[in-house]
Order: sequence, then structure tokens, then C-alpha cells
Amino acid sequence: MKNIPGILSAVTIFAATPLLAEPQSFDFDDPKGVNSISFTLDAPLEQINGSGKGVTGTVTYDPENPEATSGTIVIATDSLTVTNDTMRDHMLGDGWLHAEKYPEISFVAQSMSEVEATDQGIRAQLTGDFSLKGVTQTITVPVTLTYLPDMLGARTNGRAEGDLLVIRSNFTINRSEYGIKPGKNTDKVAEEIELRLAIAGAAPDA
Amino acid sequence: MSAQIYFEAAARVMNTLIFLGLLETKRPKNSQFVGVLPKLCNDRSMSKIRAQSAFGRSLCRGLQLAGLILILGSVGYWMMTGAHTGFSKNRVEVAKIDPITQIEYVDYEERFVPGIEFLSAGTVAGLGLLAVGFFFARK
Repeated sequence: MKNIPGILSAVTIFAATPLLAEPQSFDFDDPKGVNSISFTLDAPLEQINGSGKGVTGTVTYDPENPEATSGTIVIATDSLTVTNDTMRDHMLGDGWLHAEKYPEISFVAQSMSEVEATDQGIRAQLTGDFSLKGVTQTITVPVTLTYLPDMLGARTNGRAEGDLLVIRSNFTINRSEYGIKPGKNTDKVAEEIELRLAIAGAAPDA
Repeated sequence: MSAQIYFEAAARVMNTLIFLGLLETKRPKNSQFVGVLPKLCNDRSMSKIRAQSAFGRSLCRGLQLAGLILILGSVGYWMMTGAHTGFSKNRVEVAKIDPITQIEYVDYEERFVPGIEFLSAGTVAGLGLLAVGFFFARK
């Protein structure tokens, strides 16, 4: 009878271990409006800066096996905004992104390579299908994954408990490769689009 | 650096006003210089360039003054709001950091920042008024 607490502890640890090792699904729908993708087009006559906050999607992540990370991140095209309303209307119009016809920009993760642990978390090269304006290209981008166990409560003021996963990635695409006015207006709209992704997903405790 | 730019801009404005005759300044007693606008509007020795009446002279001066104010106002407002060389902004980016995740994100503050097309429009409109003023002066 004296060993019952010890046995219970051992059972608890034994039962919890497989749970911790299981991959978790992180939801990137962020009501706080922090999740966003920023973009910069640095042309000779005009630098265009903007961002998009309509981020959704789920990513499955296992801290014990980050190479197995998979998932999809989606950005609503009409959530993209710049500092000038007229420019935004042009950007979302049929001449450029055609947000009405192509309402989503997405990245579907396929595989992860060159995984290394750093102070900030896991740094790796993530290969996946990036879709923009109806064109899908397989690209490889550098990512940093920061796993924050038990931090969801701090972010939701205690309304929900669980873990957070922060994904950061900076990469560049060429608009011509996605059929966005290839070779046109390059003096004011740069060919290269610098993208900066910084998003946090939540995995509430069941 | 910016103070020097403002000082130089102010000095140029003063010189322009003196040159146009809209600002009185100390000058040698025997100097005949009274400024460009008074000369164009009032000098009756000029057979072609003169105002015919007090109303004409007032209109001439008024339009030229309005044009000048428009130009200086546009340049001044543009410089005071940051001399933004791109297109005008309806909103301004504000960088923020989420305290929990340390994510840097962009929020927007609804504020008008005049751009290069605002400056151009103000200057062109001001020059237009100046030109109309000179046109009346020649009538």
C-alpha cells in the first residue's frame, strides 16, 4: 500500500510519455490579428510595403520529430493591404492579383531538410507548394520553428491552455513566375517580392 | 540636418517673397527695385504689362498671392509630414511586437501622409494661379 503513490506516478509518467511524443496540430487562425505576412517590392521609382492578416491553416508538429512537420498555411488575398487605398484596389484588381478569382494564397508543406536546433528553436529548409494567382510552384524556403509549451494560456489570458508554435520565414519570389504582369511596370513594381512570414499557431489541451 | 533643411527652405521663401515684392525689406535709398509683382502690376511706364484699374491690380495681386501661398503651403505641408517621396498614404505602418511570441507585426494607423503627387498637384495649381494672375496683369 505504501508504494501506491509511487506506482501511480510511474503510471502517470508512462501514460504521459506517448502523449508528449505525439504530433500536435496547431491552428493558425489568429483572432488577435498578430499573424501576418509582410511584403516589400523595391522598384527604382517606388517601394511598396504591405501586409496580409487573413492567415489560416493548420500545421502538424512533433517536437521530437520536427522533420515530419506538415501542414498548410493560407492567406486570404483580399486581406492584403498597402498604405494607399488606390494602390490596394489596383493590387487586388484583375490586372494584378485578381483577388476575386484567386481568393487564396497558400503554402503546402511537403518535406523538411537541413534541420538544426538553435537558441530560437528549429531551423530548417522547408519544401512545399506555393500557390499564387492560380500558379503553383514547388519552392524551398528557410524556416524557424519555435515551440512554446504551455504558453497558450499567457496569450489568451487563461481562457485556454495549451502550446504555441511560432513559424518565421523570410523568402523571395518572382512575380513573373506566377503570371503577375511578367516584365511589366518594373520601374514602379519590382519583379522580386520579399515575403516575411511570422505566425503563431495554437494547440489547445484536449 | 532637418533643421538646416527647414532654415534653407525658409530663407528661400523669404527671398522669393522679397523678389516678388510681397515682402518689404530694407534697401538702399536710391534703389529702384520694388519687386517683380508691383512692377508688373503698377509700373505705368511699361506699356504692355500693367493693370488697368484698382480692381485689376487687386485681382492680380490676390491671384498671385493665392498661388504663392498654395505652392508654399504644399511644399511646407509635404516637408512637415516627412517629405515622403512615394505616393500619398491613407494609413501609416506601425511596427508592433507580440509580448508572448515576440512576433513582429505591422499594424496601421489611419493618417494621411502627402506624397509626391500631392506636392506636384499643389505646385502645379499654385503655378496656374500665378499664371492667371500674370494674365490679368497683362490685360
